[in-house]
Amino acid sequence: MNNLSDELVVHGDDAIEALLEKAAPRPLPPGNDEMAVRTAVHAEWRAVTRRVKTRRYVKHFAIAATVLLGIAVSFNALQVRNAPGVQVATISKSYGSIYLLGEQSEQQEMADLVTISAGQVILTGKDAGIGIDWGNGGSLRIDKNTRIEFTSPDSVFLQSGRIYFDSQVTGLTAAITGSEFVIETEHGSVEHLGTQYMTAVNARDLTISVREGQVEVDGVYINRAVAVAGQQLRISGGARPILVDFNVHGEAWRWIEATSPVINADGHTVAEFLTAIGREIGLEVHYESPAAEEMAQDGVLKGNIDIGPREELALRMSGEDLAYRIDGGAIYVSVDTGSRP
Amino acid sequence: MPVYLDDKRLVKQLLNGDQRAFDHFFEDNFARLYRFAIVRLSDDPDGAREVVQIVLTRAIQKMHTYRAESALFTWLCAICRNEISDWLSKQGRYREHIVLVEDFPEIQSAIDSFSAPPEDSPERHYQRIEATRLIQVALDSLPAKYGNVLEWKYVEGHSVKEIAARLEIGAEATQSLLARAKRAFADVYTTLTEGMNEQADGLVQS
Repeated sequence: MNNLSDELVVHGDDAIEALLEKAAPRPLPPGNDEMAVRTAVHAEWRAVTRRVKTRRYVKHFAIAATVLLGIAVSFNALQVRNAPGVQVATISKSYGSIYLLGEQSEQQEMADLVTISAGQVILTGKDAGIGIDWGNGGSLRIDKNTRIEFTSPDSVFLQSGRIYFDSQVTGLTAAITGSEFVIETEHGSVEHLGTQYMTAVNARDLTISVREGQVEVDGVYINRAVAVAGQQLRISGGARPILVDFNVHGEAWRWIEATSPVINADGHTVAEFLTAIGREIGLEVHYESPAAEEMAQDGVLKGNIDIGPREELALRMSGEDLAYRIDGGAIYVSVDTGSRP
Repeated sequence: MPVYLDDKRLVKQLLNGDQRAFDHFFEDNFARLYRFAIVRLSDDPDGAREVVQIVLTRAIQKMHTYRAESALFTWLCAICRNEISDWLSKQGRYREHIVLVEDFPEIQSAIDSFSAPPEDSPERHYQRIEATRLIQVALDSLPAKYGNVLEWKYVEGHSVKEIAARLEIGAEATQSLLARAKRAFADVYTTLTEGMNEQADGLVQS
């Protein structure tokens, strides 16, 4: 006999039975090991199911509250479709086509969507983007062609597309290092510690690019992997994670500026504003002379402007005795000797 | 893409906190994973126990991400492969040093040894051991219920009546289950041996 599989085909059941009869029973793990592992895994399972139940309780409570709200709203002859759960975030900016996925997976265009609730699934069109103030602190940006589920007040499930999270809302407030925000994906969980980072998901890969701070990924098939500022981590199934250097500024990051939150510059110095702008667009601030730095620290800005960060930089600086240029990864600030007498 | 509905249902029940689902999950997978791990860890029982505990704990934590696009046991094996790799790295050992029976092209001659007259040579003895392990690998690759009934009936020699009582089903249902299990075993075993033939052919040609 050259190939046993040939015999299985020729003789069918008899060959299979004869083959099996020649085998020994499969070895069993030691009983003590089984008991020890079972106890440990069971404890973890109980902990996980407790967390799931807590989330469901919150969600059900929210749905019940929403039903009451819906009844109240209907009395006021308003139409609320797809009743929301616990509010987890507020949309600060958006453009293009945004869809809310209904219970029957139907897409409803939500041009006037203002708040986002736990349990909602949002899709962005090919020309769309959303800037979100996260309820527990931080700014979340959603790129075009993205599908994301808002699972709880501290987590989202990124099904596909690209998002960016900044734990510091405007750049002029303290970073919220203690806030919990987890991005779940089919490839693993992404957690951060006071940082700015971009997460992209497709069917094959999970890619995390870190601009500031540190991000940890707990993969489905891999142990924890860490990326720090200036690194990009790519996870593809069970393959070894790939960690490479990655610019913290440049074209890959430009899309987030379309939904940057308004910078709270009112009453802050020019120097503070420059730091915030630099952080938002991934650039360091360099003063070309001590005089320029001193002027930036002395100048105080008034009011807030709702335009893009680069446009605001140009506008604000045109009113100061300072000039600037962007070169490589930095904003260079100098005394403007030409514009004023 | 196929969807493994039974596994999907089991995972849903697990996430709902169903104790019977946990028992089912653990009993179906622990021993199979242990065997999967131990052959890849140079028969180190302590390592196998630790790795399998890590794998099952990780699987429980990540259960909500399981999409049932592969069998649950296949998903667990993928996690296990990575844990083993990490384990070996931590121990200063390397994957290349671990010889896996199902990855070994020369196993074909060992399979042939089943029909050869018995000999007492060490080589023949080794071939028979390896061929036995291949059958065990095939049994572990089947859905747990299939592997169990085949082992009870043909390896341990239990009667259909005894197996029916153990599974709390009728004799006819047991016969039907055995028939399906045999077909599935033939498919898996043929795939395994064909894969090894191709690997061996590739080695010869290169």
